Amino acid sequence: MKYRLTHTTTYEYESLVSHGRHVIRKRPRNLVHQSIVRTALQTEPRPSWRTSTRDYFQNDVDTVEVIEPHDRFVVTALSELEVLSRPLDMSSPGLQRSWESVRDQLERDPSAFPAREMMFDSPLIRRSSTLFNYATPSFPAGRPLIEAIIDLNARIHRDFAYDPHATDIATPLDQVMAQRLGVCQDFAHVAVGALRAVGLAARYVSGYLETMPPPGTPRLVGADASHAWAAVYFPDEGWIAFDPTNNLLPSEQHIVVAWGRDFSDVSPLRGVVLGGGRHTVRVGVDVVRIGTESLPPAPAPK
Amino acid sequence: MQPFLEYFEPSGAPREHVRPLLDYIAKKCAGRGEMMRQTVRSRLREQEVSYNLLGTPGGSARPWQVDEVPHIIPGAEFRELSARLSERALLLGACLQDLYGEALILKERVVPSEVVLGNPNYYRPLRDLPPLAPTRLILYAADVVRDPSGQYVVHSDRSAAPTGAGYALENRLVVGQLWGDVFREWQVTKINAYFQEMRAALERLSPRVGQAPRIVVLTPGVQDESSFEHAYLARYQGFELVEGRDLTVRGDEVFLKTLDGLKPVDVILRRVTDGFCDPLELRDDSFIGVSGLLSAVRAGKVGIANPLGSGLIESPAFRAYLPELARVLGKPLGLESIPTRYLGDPRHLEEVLDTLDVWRIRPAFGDRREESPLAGTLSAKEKADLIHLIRKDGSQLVAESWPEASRVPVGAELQKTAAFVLRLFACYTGDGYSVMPGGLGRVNDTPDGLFLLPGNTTTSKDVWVIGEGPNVAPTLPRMPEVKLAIRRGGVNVPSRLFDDIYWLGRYSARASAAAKLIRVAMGPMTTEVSETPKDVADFLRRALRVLRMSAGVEDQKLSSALLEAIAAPSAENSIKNCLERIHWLTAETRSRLSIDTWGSLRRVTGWSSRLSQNFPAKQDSPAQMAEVLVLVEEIYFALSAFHGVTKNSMTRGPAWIFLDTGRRIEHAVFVLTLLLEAFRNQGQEGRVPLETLLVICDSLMTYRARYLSSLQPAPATDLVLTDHTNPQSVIFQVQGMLQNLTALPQENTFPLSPARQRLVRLEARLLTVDPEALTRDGAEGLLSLAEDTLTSLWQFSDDLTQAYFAHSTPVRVQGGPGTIEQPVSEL
Repeated sequence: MKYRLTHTTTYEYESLVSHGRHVIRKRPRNLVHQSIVRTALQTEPRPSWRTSTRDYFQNDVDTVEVIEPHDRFVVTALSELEVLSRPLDMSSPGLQRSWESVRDQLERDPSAFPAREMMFDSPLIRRSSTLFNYATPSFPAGRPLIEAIIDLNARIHRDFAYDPHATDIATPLDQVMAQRLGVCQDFAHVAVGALRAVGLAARYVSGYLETMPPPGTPRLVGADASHAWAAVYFPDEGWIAFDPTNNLLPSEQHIVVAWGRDFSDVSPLRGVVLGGGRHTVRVGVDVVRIGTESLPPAPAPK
Repeated sequence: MQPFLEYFEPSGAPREHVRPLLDYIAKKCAGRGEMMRQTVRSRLREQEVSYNLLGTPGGSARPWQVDEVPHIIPGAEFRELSARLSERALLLGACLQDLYGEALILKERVVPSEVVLGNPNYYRPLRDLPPLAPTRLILYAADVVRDPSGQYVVHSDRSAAPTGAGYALENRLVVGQLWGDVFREWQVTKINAYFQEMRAALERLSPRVGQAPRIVVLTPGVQDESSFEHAYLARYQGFELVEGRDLTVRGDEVFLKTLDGLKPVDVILRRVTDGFCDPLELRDDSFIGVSGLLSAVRAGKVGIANPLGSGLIESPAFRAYLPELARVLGKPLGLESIPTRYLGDPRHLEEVLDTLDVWRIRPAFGDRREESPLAGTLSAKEKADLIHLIRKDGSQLVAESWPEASRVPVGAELQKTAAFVLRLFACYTGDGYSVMPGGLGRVNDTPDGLFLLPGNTTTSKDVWVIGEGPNVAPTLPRMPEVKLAIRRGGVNVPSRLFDDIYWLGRYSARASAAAKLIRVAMGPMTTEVSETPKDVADFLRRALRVLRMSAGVEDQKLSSALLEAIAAPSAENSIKNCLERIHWLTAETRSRLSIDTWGSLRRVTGWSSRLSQNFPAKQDSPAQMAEVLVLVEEIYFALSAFHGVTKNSMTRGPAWIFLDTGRRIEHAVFVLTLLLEAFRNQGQEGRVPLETLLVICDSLMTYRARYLSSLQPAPATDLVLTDHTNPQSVIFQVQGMLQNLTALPQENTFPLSPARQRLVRLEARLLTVDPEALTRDGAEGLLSLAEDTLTSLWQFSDDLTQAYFAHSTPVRVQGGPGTIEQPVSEL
């Protein structure tokens, strides 16, 4: 599926900002199942200085500095990309391995080194007995890991209510666990934390969903804004993603931007400004299909 | 096992190397102990007068203590100790280099992954930074103790921002003087060469080769427990002492913000730990870092000691694996550590559970300051809880076994002994480490005796390495000395200091104004006979409320409004609140104030605590009011003394200009507010409380002398508003500020700066109004002029801030709680 995507963030400040510096993670990653045709990043006012690098997790990062006094700062990322479907072969032996055998291999296997990064506590996710106890019912002895994941995905979807007013970025995971409310970011954190609590490697993925799917295709929760989900490591298969907000395994409708240990590693926009007073922030995301092959067939003339 | 005795053989005979010391003490110090202690204390006090900071309001600066008798280490023994310390530093440096680079240690699983990957002090953005420095350990310190067998072992490693060298220097200055006669005779090695090495090590970090680098000491600020040392070191080395907000990154270069603009910074000696150095890419809750610093580091445009990331190796969990790391990296371990086990490692876990009683369980990565008891001393219940904790959170814990530290006598009487911990300091010289010949000795007679922080009340010891001869400073390649050009004014210092001084002027004048108003208003209340007329009381209450000196309740009794204006925390501009702000600002600007200025400010802020003792005074009997009034008078005169001292002693450079301008703005605002409130609500017969107004403005005598007759609105208004010969008038302040501005080199531009334009217009308006016309017809003209003038003055203050201090407004992290852009899904 080919998409054109626009992600705009607008800060409006109460008073003039004399100096601002922002770290931006808005360029989608180039992956086996996701090829980037082009990306562009614009800011208003234009930066006095900018640089593009890759972070520790190989996400694309843009850093910009603005020295022109301003009371409004807009960052727009434009991308065109193609996402290929990635059907899972459920019968593959790699997926059917028991969760314990995967867990035990992580610490021993030298090739699992990059995954070990995702096993421990991170700034926003601390393994706790609450997370462990929550995870346990999905992990009976000997169960294939993929089944455990599908079960956990469904349970989070069922147990946690979607409520954008219940949490913000500062809400700790403990509180999310207690109130069973939150948004996609919280659910992804729950999923990652639960998996780490039982000794598995799990990472946080940020990205987008298609805004307005063609008729007949369900519009997913989390479209029109950044979305977040989780991925778990299988030694022979690599990372398998799952989306507890929508209780599904991502395919062509999920666009990957960045991943890390938790949200703090992949925040789309983080900045420090001088002056400005209070500010408001608006986010707009638009993901549309391009190319005729994706259009619904025109009704045949009678 | 008995602790090792530093001075005596197990047989009780003195050790060889301390015999001269014991002889000397027996001969020269008998009965002099108390006198020696007094000398030490008074020398430290002198240092404190010159250097020490005020500490935080409510807290008190902790006095530093040093034992009058130095600790002595024979030269040969110290040489061996230094060699092994250097080996350990090289090993730790190699570990850091690997962990932030290829990470073979992790890939080969020499240490469990969690020790690094689950370590909150492993900052991923710091990986693969350019190797500007040959090692991540330019400076290193270790706390060592001597175990009962006489072996030195490392109790903790300090690698992020090792502190204490400044205290060691101070101890040497004080104790070395006291023992001057034997210092030379015993061939005590001098420690100043170490500071030259340190300086050279920092200079080598400069990216601008061949030019004298600008080196700054980055301190977390005056609230830091070691801020004294930061200031001391900076002054000794001639580096500028700065806080995070004094620096800015533009593009990928670091600059110091000064009144004169941005000055490039080449090297940062940081006293801020890794995570707090850059709020943009490291911890976003840091308010003491420099946003964008990592960009400059990545671009190789600034040298930092220690390079960012060096704090990782301080985690106790690493100590458990150092012997293995030494083997794998092919380096000697050097100085060994105290026995340490990481409880996230199954092998270690079982061993510790089997022998629990001898261990102390502590955080594997966390705060080293928490003291933890020996497991063997716990009750059965506590022990069961501890085992449960270990089983559950083992990956976050280590077990340590602390050898009993050696003991040294304390005091010239040699009556008591105490546990001894030695902090050693090393700096990288390009081909190894140079170790300070001496160190910071600390003694404590608590059983554990190891949790000693610089700045708390345990005693320190100067450490002498003897028998090696005075250490001649190696000749280092130095920059040719530049002939100093004569300069006026000091514009190369952080502009934040001038911002603080400006506010010092404002708050001191504000407190003065409050005191003046209270004195006048309270006078009648101290006797039974006189009573304040209603219109005067109304005027005073309104003025207090508008100036936010009282908390602003309507229909309040004047007496309670006045008491609020003295000490109520809820009244924004009460005297007490102003004094507390002055206290803070004094601490912040300490390094730029003369001793007299500082002394007079201390006298002012000293009243702050008196106010909390005497208040709230609920009853307002005349006797009590009289008592309160005495206090207010004292504060008023203390503030006046401060004003007088600064007037007499400050050079008329930028500091004076901003201090004086701050004062003048406050005074003008005060007079304008009084005028407004006096005229705004004229009584039924058009009565204006002119007498009270003139008394508060200290102008009644002048009025009487000039007019000899009744009080009338126009002459009174002229006197306090437009008479440029009255130092209490508004126009006098405006003209003074204009004069101040023209003395700033930056203001000699055309077109005039916005600040200057504003004052010129204001002056012209005040010079050309007719007081008679102003006060006619309900004083409409006066009211609008006063309002306009107030507005102009606020704008003028903004102009100043914008032009001189704007780049020093505290950095706010946009992505604070609730404001980072977060994925918000669903419409």
